[in-house]
Amino acid sequence: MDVFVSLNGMYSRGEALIQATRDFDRNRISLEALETAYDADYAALRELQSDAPLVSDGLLNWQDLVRPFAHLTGADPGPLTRYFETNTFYRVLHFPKAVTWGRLDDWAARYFRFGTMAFLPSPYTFTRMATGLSLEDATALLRDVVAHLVARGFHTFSFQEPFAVYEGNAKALAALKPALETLREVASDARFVLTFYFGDAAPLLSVAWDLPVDAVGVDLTRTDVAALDVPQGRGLMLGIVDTTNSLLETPEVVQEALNLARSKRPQFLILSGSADFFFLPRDVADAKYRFLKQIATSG
Amino acid sequence: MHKPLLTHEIGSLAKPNWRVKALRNLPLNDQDLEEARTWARRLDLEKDAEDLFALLEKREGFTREEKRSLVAWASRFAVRLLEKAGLDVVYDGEQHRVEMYEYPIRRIRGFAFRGHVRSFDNKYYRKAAVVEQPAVERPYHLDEYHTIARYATRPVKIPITGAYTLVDWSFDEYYLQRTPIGTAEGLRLRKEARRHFLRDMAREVIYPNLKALVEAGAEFLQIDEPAATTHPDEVPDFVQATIDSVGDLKGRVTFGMHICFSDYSLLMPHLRNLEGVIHEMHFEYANRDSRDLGVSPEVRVGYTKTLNLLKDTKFIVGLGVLDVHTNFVEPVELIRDRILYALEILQDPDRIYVAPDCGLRTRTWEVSFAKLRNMVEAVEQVKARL
Repeated sequence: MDVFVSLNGMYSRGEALIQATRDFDRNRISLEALETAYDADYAALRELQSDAPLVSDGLLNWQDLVRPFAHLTGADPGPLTRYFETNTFYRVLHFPKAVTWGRLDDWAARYFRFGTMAFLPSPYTFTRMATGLSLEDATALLRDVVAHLVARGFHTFSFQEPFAVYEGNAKALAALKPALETLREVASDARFVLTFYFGDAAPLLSVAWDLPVDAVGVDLTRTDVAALDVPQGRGLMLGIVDTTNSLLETPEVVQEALNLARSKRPQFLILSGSADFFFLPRDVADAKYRFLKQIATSG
Repeated sequence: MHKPLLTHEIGSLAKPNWRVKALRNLPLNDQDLEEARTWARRLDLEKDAEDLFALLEKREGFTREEKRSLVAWASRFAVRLLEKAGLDVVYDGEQHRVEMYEYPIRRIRGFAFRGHVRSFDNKYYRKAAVVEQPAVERPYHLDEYHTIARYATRPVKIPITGAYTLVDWSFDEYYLQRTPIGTAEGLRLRKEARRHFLRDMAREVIYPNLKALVEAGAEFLQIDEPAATTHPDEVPDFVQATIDSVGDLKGRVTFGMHICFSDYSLLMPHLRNLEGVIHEMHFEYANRDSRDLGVSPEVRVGYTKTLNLLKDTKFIVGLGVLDVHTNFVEPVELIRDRILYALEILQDPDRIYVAPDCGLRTRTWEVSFAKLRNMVEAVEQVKARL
């Protein structure tokens, strides 16, 4: 069984980059200086993931899971909305009546700096974080993005789906089937992961496995591995370190869940965070990622 | 202290530039000094403030003692601003504090800061982890209370960040130790750890602070819990933490609670267990309301749902009538109608206190003062109709 490690969605910014973004907002530094700070942080993140097959730029310049799409489509970012049960907020995107989008090259170069694994909002979560956006429009938009990224060499796509699992919404999940099939059309050889977090994935798994995905991601701070069934040929992405808490995991704390997950004989395992890492300060996030590497290689 | 339609503010006010810069070791400019003189004049503190003006002339390199003095002056100015606006109960707008999380956490034993995390966009806050059982070595709002009480001519209210919010905004590296991840037992232990953390914060941190303030003579204490509805399934735990925080102090002073920008329906029915523990339940309303005049449900859209939640409770309703996120200065007539509408629903002026939605720290003193003046005037107009 192949065991990989990966980031999960948005990664923590380093303290220097944090200071640079603050300084830029207060007109204390130039755009060039801000970009230099970003470049340094991207380089550090690339170094952290050296030798890993699944690499992401950590979405360091994303303000939230949907905000970059405002730049692509002209949607208006609305008022702050609480991001699930966290002390973090996002802006609902208000889409105009006819959703259109511009050229992807510059946009994707800006928001996917490097990597082999892309994190994108799942079509359902995208519609829940927006107004005026149908599932069909969200899918069409994501289809173009996925096609572009496949051409750039991305081979693994994690569609972030916190809403369906938080709401326990099996119906919304089932409705994702045609959407994911549409995305598959442009990425037939890519690995698709549907990543649940902020909720117990177990009750939704039978629906999830009916979708055209290679793996399902689960948040182990909310899900009991024992309750998971894994069909033959499918993989699991295990959110096995808690990215909402700074306490560093030890091998003993994760051992039982890891053994249980292996016993279900998934085709592959991706060890990752329970949710985005950006809920943690950078040093802590880095330490948790290194721990994932350690347990992935310890057999 | 209780009186019908009592007016107060909620917590923070902006900090004067001369206070902010001096504490950050940035040089003061002429404009900063002029700001101090202008407000001293407006607040009738010009004669008393000669010492302050002399100190500010130093412009940079303030000693620790001098910085302490500047904080005390900022506090005195802020209290006077609220008195001058005509509020019944006053505070100093957090002039002594950094903000509502970092300030208390730095003074509680058992926490260690871990770094910055993002709140939204390019906004971050420094987040701490509990690393041992928390405890208070010295009540951390006592000096502030004594300072304010020394020069306030009206009753003083001291806000304190509640146990639930401090727990929710912190990491846990103590109670969660050795808790397995991804197992049924681990999930159960996580919930237990959270309750344990919360209980300790309420009993070992918030209660001793409240007790010290009560014993020092404070008459009105406000527990701030902006995180109260963050985890809907934990509302009963939040309520229990409040009961534990107040403990045997119940009934000895006026206790208020402030929650804002939340879905208040999530608090029900558990919130009712705080009847008799918390006197005033203050929420934000104006932020959701229209700016049209009138006392109909169609116009007062920000008030109907929440007031109906509280109507049959025993709480005094802390009525937010000023939107703190806008420089729009609510006209007296608009505020008056908001209060009259609340009166129509609650049918009892004894059950209403009037305040802004939240702290006014993002507004200038100019705007804050204008808003608060209008609020007091609106209350007078309503009283005249009773």
